[in-house]
Amino acid sequence: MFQKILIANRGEIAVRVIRTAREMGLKTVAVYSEVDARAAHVIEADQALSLGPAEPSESYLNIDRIIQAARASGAEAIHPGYGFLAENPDFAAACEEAGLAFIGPPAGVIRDLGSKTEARRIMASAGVPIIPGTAEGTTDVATVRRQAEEMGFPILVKAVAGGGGKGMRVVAEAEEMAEACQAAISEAAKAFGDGRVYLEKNLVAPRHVEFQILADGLGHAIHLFERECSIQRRHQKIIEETPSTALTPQIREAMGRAAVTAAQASGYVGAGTVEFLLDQDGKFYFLEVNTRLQVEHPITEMTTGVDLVRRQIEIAAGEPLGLSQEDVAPRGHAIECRIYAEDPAEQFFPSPGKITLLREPVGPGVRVDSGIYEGFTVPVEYDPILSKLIVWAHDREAARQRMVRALGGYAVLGIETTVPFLLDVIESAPFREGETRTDFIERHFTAWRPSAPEADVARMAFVIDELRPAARPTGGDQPRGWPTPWQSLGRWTI
Amino acid sequence: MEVIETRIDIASDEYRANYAAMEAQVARLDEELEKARSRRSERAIKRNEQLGKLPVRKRLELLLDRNTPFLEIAPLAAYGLYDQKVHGAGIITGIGVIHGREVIVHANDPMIKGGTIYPLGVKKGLRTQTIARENRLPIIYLVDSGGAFLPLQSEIFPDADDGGRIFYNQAVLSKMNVPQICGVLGLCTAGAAYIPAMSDDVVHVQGTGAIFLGGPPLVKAATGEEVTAEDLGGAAVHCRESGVSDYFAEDDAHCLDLIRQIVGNLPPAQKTEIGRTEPRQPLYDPREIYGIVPVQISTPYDCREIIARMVDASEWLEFKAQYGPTLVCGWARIHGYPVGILGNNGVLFSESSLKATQFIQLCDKRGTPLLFLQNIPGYIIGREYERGGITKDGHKMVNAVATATVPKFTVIVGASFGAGNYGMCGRAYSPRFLWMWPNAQIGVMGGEQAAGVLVTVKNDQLAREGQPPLPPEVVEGMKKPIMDAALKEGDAWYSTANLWDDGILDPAKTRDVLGLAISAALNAPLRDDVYGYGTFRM
Amino acid sequence: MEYRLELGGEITPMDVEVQPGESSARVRIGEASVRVDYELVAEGHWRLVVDGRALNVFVARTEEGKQIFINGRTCLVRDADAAPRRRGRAAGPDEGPGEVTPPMPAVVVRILVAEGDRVTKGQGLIVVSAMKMESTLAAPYDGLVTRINTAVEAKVMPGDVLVEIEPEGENE
Repeated sequence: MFQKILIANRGEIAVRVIRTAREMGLKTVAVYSEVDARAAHVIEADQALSLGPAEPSESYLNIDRIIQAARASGAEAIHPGYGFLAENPDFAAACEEAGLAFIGPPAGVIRDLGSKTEARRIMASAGVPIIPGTAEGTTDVATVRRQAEEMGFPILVKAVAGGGGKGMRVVAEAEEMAEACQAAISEAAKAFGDGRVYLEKNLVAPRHVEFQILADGLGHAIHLFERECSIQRRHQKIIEETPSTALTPQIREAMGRAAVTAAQASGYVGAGTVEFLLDQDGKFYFLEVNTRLQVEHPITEMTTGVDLVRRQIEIAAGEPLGLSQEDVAPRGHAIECRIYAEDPAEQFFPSPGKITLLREPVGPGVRVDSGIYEGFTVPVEYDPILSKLIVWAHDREAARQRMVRALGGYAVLGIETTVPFLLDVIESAPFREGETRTDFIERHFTAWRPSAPEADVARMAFVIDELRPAARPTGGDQPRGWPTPWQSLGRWTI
Repeated sequence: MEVIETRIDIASDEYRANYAAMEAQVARLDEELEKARSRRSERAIKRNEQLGKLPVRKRLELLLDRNTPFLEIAPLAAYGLYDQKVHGAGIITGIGVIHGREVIVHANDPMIKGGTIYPLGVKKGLRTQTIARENRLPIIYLVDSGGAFLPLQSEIFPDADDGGRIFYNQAVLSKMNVPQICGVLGLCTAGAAYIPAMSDDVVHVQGTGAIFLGGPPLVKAATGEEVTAEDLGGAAVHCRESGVSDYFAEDDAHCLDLIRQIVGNLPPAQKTEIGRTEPRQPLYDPREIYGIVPVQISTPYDCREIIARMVDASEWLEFKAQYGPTLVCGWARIHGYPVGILGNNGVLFSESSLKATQFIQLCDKRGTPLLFLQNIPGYIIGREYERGGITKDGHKMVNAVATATVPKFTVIVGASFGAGNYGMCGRAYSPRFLWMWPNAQIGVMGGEQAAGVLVTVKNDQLAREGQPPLPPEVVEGMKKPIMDAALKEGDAWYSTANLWDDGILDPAKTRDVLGLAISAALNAPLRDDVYGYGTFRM
Repeated sequence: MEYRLELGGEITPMDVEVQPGESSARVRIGEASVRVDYELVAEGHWRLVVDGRALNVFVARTEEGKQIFINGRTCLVRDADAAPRRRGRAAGPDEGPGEVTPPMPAVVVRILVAEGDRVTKGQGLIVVSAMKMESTLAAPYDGLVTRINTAVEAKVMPGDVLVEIEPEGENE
């Protein structure tokens, strides 16, 4: 086993990896950019090294500097988290070259599966069903446009190197094609360094169901059941749960088998996720393999009791999986809500800034994977995810009620967050009924406006809060020092 | 600094009895304050509304920063006098903050007798100006007054400390560069016309505000000319033609906002730095003072117990603890401000007077404000003490108190009799502020002693005439009215009604009041006078 | 103490009267008068008992007003009289609705129009990127692009008018 690992990421996922590493007795090394010098992952780690300026290419995407940091700190392995370099085969290769263990699959596997078109080829030949679409990617708008017209609309433009909804556009009609295509190419080029896009048939209101897989370097692979990730906004998952309400035992078994087949066909090592789309007839199609730890991995951990990060590290250290398919028996129901620094009242525009007050929910069955703290300034430079709120209970309805309770106690002030939106979704009748399809938000929440808390109570809180004097003198020419009683006593009469 | 350890047993019968008695007195105080603040006739309220004027309390609310303290001065002036209807002598006065800056406000209450000025109203106005002068606080006059209350004009007009002094003070304050801002929110007739005229800035409300030397009735009587108040001295006249007023206000709210802007635009206050520390709450609940102060003023108690409930962290450094123990002295902090405290633990002897003299000089030299907690039956008398020179030593203390230049603050927490009142910085010794607790008593001597003295004098006279002394029943008959009068005319209510003090305090609020007052006092330079003393008789 | 509070564009007058010496106030909103007991649990954390119902409320003071959190939902409440207190004299030219300005600090990625272009309401003008999310700023009304005040890669702030449009339509 390693003595020391470096986490090449930031925010909640870096903190989450550090926690397991600490439990395993490993020393942890954080890396950070200029704006993250006081970020949670830096504070949590045993050691922290600066990478450079905020710009990702100068810091979290800079392979050379990260390898250098690993060398300088004496780390033996690198955990990439998700996003940034997690699915970059060059990075995995650079680690291998530098004699560092990459906590993830081998570079070749990442490269194969990272190309959506190549992945589709591998799966098709292994007998895993795939969505109809084009076989090759391109950056030529005219080509894509012609292909699209052949396949018919609506259609999905996807980045070959894509992930996380970036470089992806649904196109309803031919006229929108050029602009959407250009946007997807530009976004993909910027996010992944590869602007190529291809086309897929756009399934109508499918469900997004994914299977967690684990494979060791000795050829042993298992799945850890599914995660239902259909609730998405702009192709970004926002709520995930397990088990899926849509799967019958038969479908579950078939998909699980397909997932393990996919792992084996691609020579997979480590923790990964096989994504499927499930249509209304119960037919499922391979979508892609995510060769990393998923954002939503905690719900699987909650129901299976398996610490996926621990398994990742063990596998990377060359240890056998030590877990058979029969050992994995999921229990109860888990739901995850992603908390973003976005303003639901302003079209979910990012809302960076200083967190002036933070109260995280606690209590039975509640887990918060957080990368923030009170007083932290959420930087403008990175993905606006703040934390994930995960609940577990014996069944879905109990878990849903627990999520309502936990969101109700999740106070983040100073910035706007998605908490009020999530609360409305979780409380809605369609969610309660399990009507979770990928068009859930469009169908039920397009005209959504934040409902204010009880307005009169809020007004009362305002005037009551006025009674609290300012903690410190404010205003331009106030004398410095301790507040005078004129400032500290608040409303006062003889 | 050492924590003052309490010896109070809050479970004792005595504590409970004391507590109940003081609580009742504080309840009475709150009730009287409430009456003074809000009891107005329906007619007056309606008339004020019809004129489009805001009630004076509302004016203050709009003038001062929201949710900040208002340290009202003499809210119960004229209490029990003038038909018991002239609450606060018809004026609200107090220190508050505008844009974070401490100011003093003097506002007529037009809902009390049309805002006419009573003799005690003049006294209160003069007191307001004294506070402004001593503490260099900008003064804001909100004028809305029908002029002098004519039936009592002889008590208002002629003497040195009567009406004319108000304008004399305005001139002096102006010379000293103490800002004076006047809001004309009603009539300013005759003499009152000089309040805006002598202010630095005048904000004039159209429609209701009017300034003239002679009002429409007088003009008509004198010249036969018929003219309205607005035409004679309204905002348009004075802002456009005469130049008497500087700012034109559409209504009360606008006027008060303009005053706020004027204050916000003043050069910043240069507050005196005396070395503050972080304010800390006392360790003991200030309310416990209720149970500490005995029901009977003659019952002794340790003044350290009340100090412990006023000062930061209940800590102090006691000075000369074992010498002259009937006066306790020590260094402490209130709301972070350093203070030198003198408190009585019995009559003053030569030693205690000398100790006080030394302590006062030290505080003065070091620039530490002085706090006097008066509970003083007087200086010791008797053959031995006269021979020991008690008068000589008492003089030293009075001399030091009178001429010390640091800000002085006095709270009468019990008795305040005879020369003890002088030595412990009574009103005549110019403390920046002086307050009384509800149980306090003030006089040349206690009622019992005064009556006793009179009986003795009478008996001496009878003896010289060869007659027998007065029989006991006559003695009792003679003593009773004297004792009753002393009790009535020496209580806190009588004192505050006559403006012998700046108000009666809930003992539990004393600490906060002192904190506010010290902060306000620091608007003036530490030494308002030449440092030094008169000759000490040795 | 009277207040006029703005919440969601609506201004509500209210009056609060604090019971001296107690942590209790009477709050009047319209015709209703409610007793509110309050306790400051920690900085920014109030426990209110409104007419017998207990609530934990979190309040953050911001430059725009107070952000108030109650049971998972937040809103911004402002003192409509905060500054200045007097009723308004015109405070300068109206900032007409719908300027082309980013809602937060961002970087310009693409400019989709040129000076002299005729644009229709809702048409994309400028693409900005913030926190790795691209978004398109649209024309607030039909009109003629008179001026473009920015360039690709420029860092822009809320309030910066990126594209000036001369309105066309109803009036002309």
